[in-house]
Amino acid sequence: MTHPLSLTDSQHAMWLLDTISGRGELFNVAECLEFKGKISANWLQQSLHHVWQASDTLACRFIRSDDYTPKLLPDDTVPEIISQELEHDPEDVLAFAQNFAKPYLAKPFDLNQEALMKLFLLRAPEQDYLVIVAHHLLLDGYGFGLFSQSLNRCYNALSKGKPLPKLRFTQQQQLLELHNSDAYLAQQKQAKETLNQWLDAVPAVNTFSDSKADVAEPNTRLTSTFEQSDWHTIQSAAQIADTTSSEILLAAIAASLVAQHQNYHVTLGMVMMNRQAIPELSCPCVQSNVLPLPLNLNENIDLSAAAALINHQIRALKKVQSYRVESLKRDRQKQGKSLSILGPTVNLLPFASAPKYAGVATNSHILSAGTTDDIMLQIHLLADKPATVDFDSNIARYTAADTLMIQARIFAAAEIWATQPKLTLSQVADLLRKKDL
Amino acid sequence: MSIPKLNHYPLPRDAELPQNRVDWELDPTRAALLIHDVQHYFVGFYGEDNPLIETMIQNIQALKAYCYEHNIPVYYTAQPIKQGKHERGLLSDMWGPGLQDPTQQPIVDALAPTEKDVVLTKWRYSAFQKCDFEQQLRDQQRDQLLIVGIYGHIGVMTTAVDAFMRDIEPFLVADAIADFSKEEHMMALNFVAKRCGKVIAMSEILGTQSQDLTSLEGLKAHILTLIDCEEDEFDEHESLIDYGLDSVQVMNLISLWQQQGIETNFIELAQIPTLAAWVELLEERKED
Repeated sequence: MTHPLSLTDSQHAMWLLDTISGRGELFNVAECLEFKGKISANWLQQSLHHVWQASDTLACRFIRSDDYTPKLLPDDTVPEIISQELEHDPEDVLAFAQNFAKPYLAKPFDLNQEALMKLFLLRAPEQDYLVIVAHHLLLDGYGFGLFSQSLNRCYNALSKGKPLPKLRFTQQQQLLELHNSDAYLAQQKQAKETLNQWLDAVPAVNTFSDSKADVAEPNTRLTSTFEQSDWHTIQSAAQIADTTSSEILLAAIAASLVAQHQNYHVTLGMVMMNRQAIPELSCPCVQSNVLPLPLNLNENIDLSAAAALINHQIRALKKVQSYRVESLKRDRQKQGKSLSILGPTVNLLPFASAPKYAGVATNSHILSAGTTDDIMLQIHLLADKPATVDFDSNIARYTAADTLMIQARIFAAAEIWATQPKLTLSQVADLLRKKDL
Repeated sequence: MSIPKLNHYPLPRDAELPQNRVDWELDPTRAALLIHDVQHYFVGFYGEDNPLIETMIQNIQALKAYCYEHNIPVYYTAQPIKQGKHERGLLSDMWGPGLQDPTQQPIVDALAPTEKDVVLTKWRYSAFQKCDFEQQLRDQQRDQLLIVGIYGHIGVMTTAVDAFMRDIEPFLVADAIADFSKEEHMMALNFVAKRCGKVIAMSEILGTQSQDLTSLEGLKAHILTLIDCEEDEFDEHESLIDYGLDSVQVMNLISLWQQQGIETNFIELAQIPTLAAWVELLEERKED
């Protein structure tokens, strides 16, 4: 007999968003794993079985008790991978997979009854494609990576005739104990104070649009990849400025907001992994958080100084990343302060990997990473390859032309500042304005 | 028609260098150094204070000092100004009239030749064309040529090909050349390593070892530069995330290991975030 367990703060927040919105489908995410060859459906199902049953944060239902308190009820029924034959291999895999996933993304999961993941193995003559649709309450980006990596380990063990690996996932109860520890709670208290102090010092939070929209409005995606030569210059600038390529991209986003609003206070919404302790890093669940990254820039700073400021602020943000954004908004509301606490949201994704399934290479396509009421920049960091950025924007606030302009401005800012790292922020902003960006 | 404006890029790291087909050993008694076309005119296309050029010049300075110390003769090439159509030949069709301003003709100040050095007049991509360079090397009993300077995939690479065809062993110094782009830089290195010479790093010539980022000591030294912790307080069994190592820094490490043919990913490293566990994992992957 298994007993229902409490939810973690992150799970609870996602459950509330789903329940209050009444639009559970907004929180569906999807990914397509493209196999560069044919794979064994049997081994894949066996692998899923092993991974699923090794974790009660996967093998569960999110039930609602009579008093409306959500609970996690262990349930080891493993989702069946639904197999479908395709007559031809798709020419444009991403477009095909997006089209395939569309109806499943549009359908809400029944949190009480269903496993929060659906898997489809699409079998074409040359290649196979695994489309996974899941609820964000089940997994975040890191959790998804952990799940995928474990699936791959199991598959490769089976292909070699080896025993399935022992998966040492952290279980829900261990996670709850960690989050209820005195040290963790003290950290939360401190985080609450710090974040509220930061926001008190922020004069105004700007994003790329002045209008407002509901999270329920549809999102569209524009995907852009840096030119190889521009990316090399960004990498070189990172070496000179003793920073990282991703901090240069954040500086470029900040510069493009400065160019638009002529205000040197910039606040970005940073998606934080929010996994510090080893048990959190070994749990396929939802844990990530979005918090304000206030940057008090000034007109005279060069790239090196801007990147140093961003680095310093991110380090400070890491110390407070466990305090939920929903709680922070509640704090602001109680104090009668603005609920506009995040600018454009930025998600740095270093999780990319292309594992081989018994020698068959793979390519991963993120089909949907959730919904935003503003704009979210998903920055895929791919080892030595140029970064790819998905601009997911809410169509009630941004036209396709607006998003294209935002993309052009940010890419131009990165290229200009990396090429001439000694330019000041005001000079970069002026150059962007002169280019009509 | 002219050379485009050029940007900076990171010079290749030792681990990025292509595999050489030949096993030639650099011998100071057989070698000469060629500093190729580092004239104000060609350097000017990179703009002022270009970090790529600054690093290349520093490396050439160090290499030149090494050559003086080991009695290795140093040669320069420099193109003349205002070449006539007949003198410039097909280069005019490809690049326009070329160098016209006398102030742009000299070698850059930081690498100015001394009385000990020989400056050759450069007429074509290869330093050997329309010039007695080969004879000068023979007279000095030199049959190995270290080549540095600009531009990697044009004159530098062509001179290496020409040296090879004259039975002179070319050594291309990977981090003492500059090019239009990293792609073209790597293309030149790959071609030379596979077809006509040996690609070599500064560290190999100068005997300065680069950090081995797969060993406990090498990786520890690297990580200590990224985190806020003193060496004597660092514990290889403690979580690197607690020490403040962030996901982007981990990603950079993954990229460095990838260049050495070792595949890892963020998720597997994050689950065992200690230096000791990472070194163990890297050892396993090397055996794979």
